[in-house]
Amino acid sequence: MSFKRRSELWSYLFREKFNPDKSLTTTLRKVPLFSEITSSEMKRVRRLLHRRVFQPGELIFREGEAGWGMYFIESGLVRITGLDRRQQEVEYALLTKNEFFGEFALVGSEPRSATALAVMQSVLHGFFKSDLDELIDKDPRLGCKILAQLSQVLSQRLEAMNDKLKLFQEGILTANPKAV
Amino acid sequence: MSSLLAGHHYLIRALYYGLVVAAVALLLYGVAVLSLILATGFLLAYFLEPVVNTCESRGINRVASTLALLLILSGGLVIFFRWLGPVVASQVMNLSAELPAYRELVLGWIVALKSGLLSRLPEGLVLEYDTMLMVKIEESMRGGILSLPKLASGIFSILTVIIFAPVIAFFFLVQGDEIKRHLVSLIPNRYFEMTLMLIHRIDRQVGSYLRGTFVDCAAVGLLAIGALTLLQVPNAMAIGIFAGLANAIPYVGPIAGALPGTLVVLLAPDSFAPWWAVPLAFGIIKLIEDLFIYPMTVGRSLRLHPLAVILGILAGEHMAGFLGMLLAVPCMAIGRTVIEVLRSSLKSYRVI
Repeated sequence: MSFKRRSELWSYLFREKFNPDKSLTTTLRKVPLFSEITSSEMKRVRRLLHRRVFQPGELIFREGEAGWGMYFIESGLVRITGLDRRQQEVEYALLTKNEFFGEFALVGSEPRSATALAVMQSVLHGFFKSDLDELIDKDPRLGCKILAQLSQVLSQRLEAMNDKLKLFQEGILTANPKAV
Repeated sequence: MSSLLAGHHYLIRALYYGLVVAAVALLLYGVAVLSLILATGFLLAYFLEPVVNTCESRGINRVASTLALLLILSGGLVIFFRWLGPVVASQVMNLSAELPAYRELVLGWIVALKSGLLSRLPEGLVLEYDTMLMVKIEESMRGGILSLPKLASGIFSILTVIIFAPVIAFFFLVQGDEIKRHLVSLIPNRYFEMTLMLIHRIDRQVGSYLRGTFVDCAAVGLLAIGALTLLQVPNAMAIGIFAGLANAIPYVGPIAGALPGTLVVLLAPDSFAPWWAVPLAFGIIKLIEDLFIYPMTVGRSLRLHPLAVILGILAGEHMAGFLGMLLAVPCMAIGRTVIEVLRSSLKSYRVI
């Protein structure tokens, strides 16, 4: 038996079994919203999420639609687009594993500000207003933690937006958001 | 083996779908047979959910708090049936025994009313309506008397509900969210968010209405029992419980609740209270309810136009009698929420 084969044997014997819960926890740990919560609280959050599988090209939500929550990407690729002033489609972002989108809908009542589309088969986990309400009812401490983290994420987004606006006003930034 | 199965591909598929259809049919049949137990368990879970949630928010395990709460409730029911049950049952029997006397009293009123109206309306019309009314009263009174044996035979099914409804409620309380989550997971991606929000809104609105109505009716029932006991009205507990139950029907309920008490006082020659004391007491109870209890319990959870409520109650009575009257308003609230959410969502999803 060659060395390579032996190492393959050992790695096979001591391989870690795929654990979907662990994989999801790893994804969630990287999301700022859940970065401060304990392991037991994470268990609770995991039970609240809705796992959805989107096929390539499948629409997740469209700009202008009513939005009720946000999504975390466990695997796959999601394109976020919007319409500019000339009603032409502009790509805002291409999101992949461990990233999230749609968080504004979790607290606001405004329609979706962008369109999200699955580029390839994507496994997403949805976290919605109803889940947050439920969490606040049953575990206010955890609900407050998540709300605090959410407000931090939103304030960071606002700051980034202000910076972009300043650059735009100074003429440094062009109308195409991909330029920066 | 696989080649053997390949030839029977359609047969196996048909067999599989046949099994699924049979399982669903069996499930639906089971739900229909057990509908009363399931509905009672579901309602019980609805009422207890805020308490269980509060316990959970204070760090008490959900299973433990649900079990403790159901045990306390069962204890309360045992106490009720042990001490208060026989009293209420005997009072209900007394009231039903006096039904012929009430019938005579009501008929006397109708005769007096008829003689007053006779001079003002065409004779044929008055006679026609008088006969119709008499027949209706006779039917309802006889129905009331005849339904007593039915009521006694129904005690077994009531006992079944009392035993099994808490078990159903336990599972709804402990695993309700998981059941809901699983059902929602079957919805296609495009409509899943909308469905989730629809369920959430209906749950909040109908839940707050049902819980509020329950507390409101219990408060009115207790106040009625207290007032009737003070006025020394016979069978005060049975009449008070009826008044509390009837209060669940908006507008019609409070009047229907006051009527038996007034009739009982009118029939009792040596009554402590004058006949007008009972309607006056119910008027005061209604005032207390409107000013203090209703705003705190049901409040604006319903948001239905009074005319719509009245029409709904009439339609409910036409379809399913007293139960229909009780269920009309929550059903209308569900219908309105569904239409509201569907309209806004389908518009935003550009379906309509």
